Amino acid sequence: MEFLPVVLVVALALVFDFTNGFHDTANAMATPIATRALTPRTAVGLAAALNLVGAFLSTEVALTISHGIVNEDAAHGGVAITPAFVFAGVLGAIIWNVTTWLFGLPSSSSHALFGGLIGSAVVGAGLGAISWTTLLDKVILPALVAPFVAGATALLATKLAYAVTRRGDGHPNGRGRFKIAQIFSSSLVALAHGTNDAQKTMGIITLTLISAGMLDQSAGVPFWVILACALAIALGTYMGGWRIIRTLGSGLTEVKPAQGFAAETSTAVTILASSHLGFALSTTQVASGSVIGSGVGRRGSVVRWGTAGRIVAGWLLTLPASAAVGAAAALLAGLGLWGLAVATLAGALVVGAMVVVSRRTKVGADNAISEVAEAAEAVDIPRKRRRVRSTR
Amino acid sequence: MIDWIALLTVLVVTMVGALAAVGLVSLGIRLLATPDRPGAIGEPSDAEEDDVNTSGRRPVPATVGAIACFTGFAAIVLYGIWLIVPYFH
Repeated sequence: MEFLPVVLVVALALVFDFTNGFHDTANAMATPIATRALTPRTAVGLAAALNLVGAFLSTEVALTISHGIVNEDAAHGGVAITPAFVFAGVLGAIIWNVTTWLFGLPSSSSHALFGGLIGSAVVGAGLGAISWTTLLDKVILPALVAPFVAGATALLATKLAYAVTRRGDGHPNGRGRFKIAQIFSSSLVALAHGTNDAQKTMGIITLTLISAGMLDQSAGVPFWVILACALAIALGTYMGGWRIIRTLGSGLTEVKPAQGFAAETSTAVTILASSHLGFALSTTQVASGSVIGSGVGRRGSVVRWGTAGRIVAGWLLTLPASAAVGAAAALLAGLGLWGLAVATLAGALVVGAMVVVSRRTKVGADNAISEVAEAAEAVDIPRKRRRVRSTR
Repeated sequence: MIDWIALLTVLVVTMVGALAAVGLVSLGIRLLATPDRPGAIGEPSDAEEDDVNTSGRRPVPATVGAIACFTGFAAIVLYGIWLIVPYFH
């Protein structure tokens, strides 16, 4: 195998790692930013640092990335792992990640990657290369379970937090202090994310190097790969997917400190419990479920189910959409080096176009948690009080 | 085949862990905000982010209890970190 395609795949995998990072900043940091437990810049800096550290902590699951879903045994009707196959899968995942970011939808980066690889595998070896039962077990069922487990936990946790801090006369006291606790709970989510997600890219790169004969079959993950992946995910996290932070932090429901702490704790515990009991759940879906559950759990809060519906629609589309892009890229990549070049160019154009479109409605650290919403709040509160007085 | 046992275990463990952590911190925060100041503070709804507002000095048992609660929470966080880092186990 030539040298050039491998370099291309490594570069593309790092780009995916970067999108993975900025897509998932929201999972840990949307709620502390929303409650002002942390300033936006501090929050993304903390998340980036923890993702960087997390990436060095483990390579345990790096090589099991697509294991089982795609039949990698070329001798028995499976798809041969070649740089071209990985290239197409990763390109599909990147394009879907950028698309969902443009729409501010928290969607699973792992599912995007699975989708891309599936599309690529179907083109390479036909539908027989996909294990549908494994797909159901590893992707679809967990996707149904994650929001439910996290949501139910966050609902009860929120109710508990408010019940305990509610005084006898029904008035609260000292709930602002939950902001301090939020720093710990959201940091735990960021660390867990770093140890899990950077490994996906490490696995992809190592797999490609092995398939190209540049690395031994039995080789572990080379150090430069760990370093590059850690830096890419940390940089992505620091850039912050502000559109997604806005959706999770204020789009679904208005988050208060006690509620935010309950949601983050539920997210952290759900991820840790599931990944250690052999039922790995998507961080993004768990975090979204927690925010919705905590919104249901707090008295007087409103959950915008329309936004929740859009997010779920995004989840349903993730696998087929990234598979379609992956398949198209695989068709091009099959044409050889020229095909790879055309696919890369087309991918770059699509991503570039979406970035240009995103400039029209810029969302950044300064306005992720909407100023408009805040202004509306400031206007709303006195009006509410007046109404209360007049009824008395 | 859907592994219902694994699923149920995840749900139960998650519930117990999260409620323990949130319960400890809430209790600690409640204890720090004693004694209650008479009269209304904030709104009775759960919409307010209330500052600490007490009357007089906090009793020593309340402070000790709050520290115990936060220590318990710290232990849960440390266990979480222990779980995250494979080097430890």
